[in-house]
Amino acid sequence: MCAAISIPTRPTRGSDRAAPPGTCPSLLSSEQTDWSQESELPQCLSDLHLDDLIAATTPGPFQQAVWRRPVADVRVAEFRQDVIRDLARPEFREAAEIFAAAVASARNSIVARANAHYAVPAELNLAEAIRRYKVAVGDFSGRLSEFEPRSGGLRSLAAHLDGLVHSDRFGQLADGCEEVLAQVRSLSVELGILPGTVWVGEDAGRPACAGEVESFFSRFSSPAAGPPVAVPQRPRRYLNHVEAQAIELVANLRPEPFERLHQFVTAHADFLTNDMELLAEELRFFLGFLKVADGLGPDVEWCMPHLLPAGGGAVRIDGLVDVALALRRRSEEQPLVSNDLLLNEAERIVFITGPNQGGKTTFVRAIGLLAYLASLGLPVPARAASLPLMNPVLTHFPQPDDPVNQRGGLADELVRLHDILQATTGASLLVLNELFSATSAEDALELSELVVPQFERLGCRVLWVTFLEELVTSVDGAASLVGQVAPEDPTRPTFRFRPQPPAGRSHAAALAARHGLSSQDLAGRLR
Amino acid sequence: MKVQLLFPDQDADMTASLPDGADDLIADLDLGPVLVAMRPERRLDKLCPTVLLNPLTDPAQISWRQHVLADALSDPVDMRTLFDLAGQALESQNSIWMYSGRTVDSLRSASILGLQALLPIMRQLARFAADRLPTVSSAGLAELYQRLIDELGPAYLQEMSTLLVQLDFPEGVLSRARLDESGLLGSLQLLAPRTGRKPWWAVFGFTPPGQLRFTIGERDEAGARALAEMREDAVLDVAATLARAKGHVLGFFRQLRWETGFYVGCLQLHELLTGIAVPVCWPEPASGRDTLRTASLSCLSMAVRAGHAPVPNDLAGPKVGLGIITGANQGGKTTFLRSIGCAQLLLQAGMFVPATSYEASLAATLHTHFRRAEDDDLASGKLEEELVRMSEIVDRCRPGDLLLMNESFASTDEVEGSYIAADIIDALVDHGVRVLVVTHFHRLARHYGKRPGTTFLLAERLEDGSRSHLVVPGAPQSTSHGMDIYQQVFGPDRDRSHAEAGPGGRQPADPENQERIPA
Repeated sequence: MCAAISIPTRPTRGSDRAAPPGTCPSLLSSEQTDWSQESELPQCLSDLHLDDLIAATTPGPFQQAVWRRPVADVRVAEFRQDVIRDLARPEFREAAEIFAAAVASARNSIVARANAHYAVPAELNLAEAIRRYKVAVGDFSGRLSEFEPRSGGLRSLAAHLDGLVHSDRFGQLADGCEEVLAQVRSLSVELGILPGTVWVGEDAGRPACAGEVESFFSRFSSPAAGPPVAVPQRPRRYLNHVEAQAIELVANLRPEPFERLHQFVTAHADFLTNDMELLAEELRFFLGFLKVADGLGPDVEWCMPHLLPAGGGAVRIDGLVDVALALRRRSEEQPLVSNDLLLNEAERIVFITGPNQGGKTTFVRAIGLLAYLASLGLPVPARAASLPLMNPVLTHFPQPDDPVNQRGGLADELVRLHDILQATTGASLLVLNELFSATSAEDALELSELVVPQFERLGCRVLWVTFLEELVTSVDGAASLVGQVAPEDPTRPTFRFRPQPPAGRSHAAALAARHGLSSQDLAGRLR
Repeated sequence: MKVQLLFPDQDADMTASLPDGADDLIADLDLGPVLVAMRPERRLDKLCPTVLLNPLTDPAQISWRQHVLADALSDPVDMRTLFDLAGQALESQNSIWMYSGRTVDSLRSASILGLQALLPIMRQLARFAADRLPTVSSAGLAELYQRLIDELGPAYLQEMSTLLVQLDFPEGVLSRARLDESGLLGSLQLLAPRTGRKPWWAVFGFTPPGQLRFTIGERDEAGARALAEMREDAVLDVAATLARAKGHVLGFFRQLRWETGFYVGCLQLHELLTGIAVPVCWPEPASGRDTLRTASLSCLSMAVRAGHAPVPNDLAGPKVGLGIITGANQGGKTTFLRSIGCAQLLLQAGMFVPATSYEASLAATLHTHFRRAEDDDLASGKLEEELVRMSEIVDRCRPGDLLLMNESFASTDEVEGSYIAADIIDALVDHGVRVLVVTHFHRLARHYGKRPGTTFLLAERLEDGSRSHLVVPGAPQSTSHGMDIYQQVFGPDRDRSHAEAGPGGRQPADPENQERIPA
C-alpha cells in the first residue's frame, strides 16, 4: 500500500498569502508556503552527505519537504535564523519539544480511538492525550509570554497561543479532562489473577504484601550484602485484549465515571486543529536539527551565518568543520580539523590542490554543506561565517561505474556537467571534485579550459578540486588553496588548507623517499 | 544482622581491594607461603591478604581482634564450628541452581527455596550460640552470640517458614490496582494472601458476590501471555523483595564465613608456629611515634618457609626513626628487615607476633622497596624499574608510614646509587616516614653517620668470619681491604676528610667506593 504523503495545510484565502486572522502563524516564513507541493530531491544530496544529516534529524514527510527547499530570499532565511535563535534558548526549547510530542501523541490517540475494538481503554487513552496536549499548549504559551521572544515568528506565535489558551473552548477542554481523569483514576479495585481467569472486585482494604515481607526480613539487611540482586525487568505491558477486558470489567463494576469520560471525549472530538498540527511539524524541523547539532559534541562549533544577498559578496568562514565526518565519527575518537576560507568578491573560481588523502573532498564538502544549511536559514558548523546566499548548491563528484549506465565514464561526466550548467545561475555554488578524472590529464586540461569561460560567464562560485596544477596557474583571477603537510614529516597531511600557489611534487618526493623510491634511491637500486 | 568479629563497629569489607603496592609487599616480605598456610579454604584465598595488608591503626580495633583471637585459641573447636556452619549455609544454595532468576517466577521460586534451605542452619546456629555464650570472654563473640539468640528466635523462624509457603501463591495472585497514566490497570500492589479455609463459593467455583470476571479461551496463547505479564507485574516487587531478603541472609553467612575464616587462619598459623617451637606473644601498639623494640623476634615468613625456628633477633629501640643496617653478606640483614615487616603486619592485623615481646608505633601503610632478583629484568632497564617503583612509593607515602628498603639502587654504582637513595631517604624522613634501610653502600651509611636519632645495626660477623645471623647495634664497618691498604699508604687522616664529603660530594676518584683492591 502506498499512502500519499499527508501534510497538514493552512486554509488559504485566495491570493492573500499572509496568515488569515485566527490561524496560527508560520515559523518558517512570514508568508504562507504550500508544503504539500511536490519538491525534487536536491542534486547535491548524496555528494555532500546531506542525506546523512537529514536522516539524523529523523524527519517526517513535512520536514523532508522543508529540507529540500532552500530559500532564495535572504529575508526568509533571516526570519528562520531569528526563530532558531529563540528556539535554542532552553526556556523555549524544552516547552516546544513537549508541545510537539504532545501533538503527535494526541494524533495517535485520535486514530487509535477511531479504530478501537474496546471503547473504554481508547477513551481513557484519548483523555490522557488531551490532558498532555492541554498542559503542553499552556506551558509553551506561558514560556512565550514570560520570556519575550525576539524573533518575529515566535512573537506572532506567542500572541496567537495566548488568545487560544484564554479562549472559552480551551478552558472547557482543560477543566473537563482533569475532572474526568481524576474521577476514573481515583477508583481502586482488587484484581485477581488466576490461571486463565481475571476478576475485578471492590477494594476491601487489605494490607500490601511487599512491605510486610520487607520488614519481616529487615533484621538481615546490611549495606555489605554482596552483589545487588539482578531483578528481571518489569514486563512491558501494553493494551491488548486481556488488559482491555480487565479495564472494561472495572467500567462495568463502577459505570458512572466512565459514562462521563465518554461524554467528554465525544464532545471534544475535534480538539486538535490543523494549524496546531502544522505548528508542531514546523517545530519538529527546527528541534530535530538542534538535537543533531548538539549531539555532535563540543568540538563542532555552530554559528548563525551573516547572509549577503545572493549573487555577490565576499566569503569569510572561520573554523569550519565537516558535519558529515562528525556524524560518522561519533563512535570513533578522531579529532576534527577545522579550516578557514577567505574569498573576496572577485574570486569566483577556487582551485583546491594537495596531497592524496589530504582532506580535499572533506574540505569542499564541508563548504558545500555550509552553503546549503545557510540557504535553509539554519546555523552552520563554523566559528563565524559571512557569505552570500548560495542557491542552488550543485555538485559534480566522481561516480562509481554504473553498469546500468551505458555511457562511458567521460561521457557520463560531461552529461552530468551539462545538466549542472543548465541549473546554474549567478547565485549558484558549484562544487567540482576531480572533474574529468575519467580521461587523460592532457584531455582534462583541454576540457577544463573550455568550461572555465562558461563558469565565468554565469558568474557562479566554483570550488574545484583538481590535480591539474597547470590549470590552476592558467586561470586568471582564480584563488588557489593547497592542502598542507606536517613540516617535520612531509608524508603526513595536516588536513588544513592555505591560500598559496600549487605546491608542486614535494610531497610525492618525500613519500617516495620513505619507500626507497626517490630518484637517487632508484638510481642506486636499478643499477 | 552484623557479624563484627573483625571490627567493633562494622562488618569487614569483603570486597576491599588490596592497597597499591600489596604485590610488592607480598613478594618482598615473602608472604606467599604464610598466606597459603593461613588460608582456611581454597575459595577464601583473598581473605588473609585482604585482612593482613589493610592494617589497623586504631589500638581499640587491635585489642578487639586480640580478644576474639584469644577466645579462639582457648577453644579452637567453637571457632571452627561457626566457620563450618557458615560454610554449610553457603553450600545449601547449590541445590537450587536450576532456577535462573531471569523470570519473575523463577526469581521468586529460587528465593523461597533458598531461604527454606537456610532455615535449619539458622535454627542450629541460634542453638549453638545459646549453648556457647557462657564460655566466651571477648566482647566480639559474646555480642555475636547474643545477636544470634535475639534475632533468630524459634518463633521468628517458624513465622518465616509459614510466610515462605504463603508466598508460593497456591490460591492465585491478588493485588490492588488503579487505572494509571499508562492507560492500563497498573500500579499493582500485591495483597497479603488469604489465609484460612476457603469460603463456600470458592469451594464450588462460583464467582463471589461483588466480583466480575472473564476467562480467556483455552487456545488463546496471546491472551495467556498477556495474563502472565499482568501476573509478573503484580508479583515482581515481592519477588525482588524476597530475592533481596535471601541475598541479605546469605550475605550474613558469607560475612560470618569470612570473619570466622580469618580466625581459623590465625589458628592454623598458631599451630604451625608452636609446632616448630617459635614463641609467640601479644604485641603492644605504642602510642608515640617511632617506637620499635622487640625481643627474640623471629622472621615469620622464614619460619613458615623453612619449617624450623629461625635465629631470633633483639632490637632495643626504643625509638627508631631511621635505621641503617649494614654488615656482612649472607648475614641475615634481609631476614631481619622481613621479620620487622611481618611483625608489623601481624601487630596491625590484631594477631600474635613470633617474639617474646614486640612494641611498635602503628603505621598507616607499610612500604617495601627491595632489590629484585638479578634475572628479573633486562639489565638496561633495571635502574629505571627501581626508580619507577620508588616513585610510586613516594606517591603513596604519608607521615607515620614505615618504609623498608633493601639494597635499593644497587643496580647502579655506589656513587650514583648512594646519591639517589640519600636524597629520597632524606626527603621521606623529613616528611615523617620511618625508614629502615639495608645497604652495602658505605657511602650511603656514612652519610647518616652524624645524623642524630639514626639507629645503626650490623649483621654480625664472628672473628672467624662465620655469620651468627644476628643483627646487633653497630656502626657501619668498611669491609674493603683496599681501604686498609690505602690507609697504610696514605695515613688515616685522609679517611676523615672523605667521610665528611658524603654522597653529595661526587668525587669520582674516591677509592673508598671501590670494592676491589687496587693492583
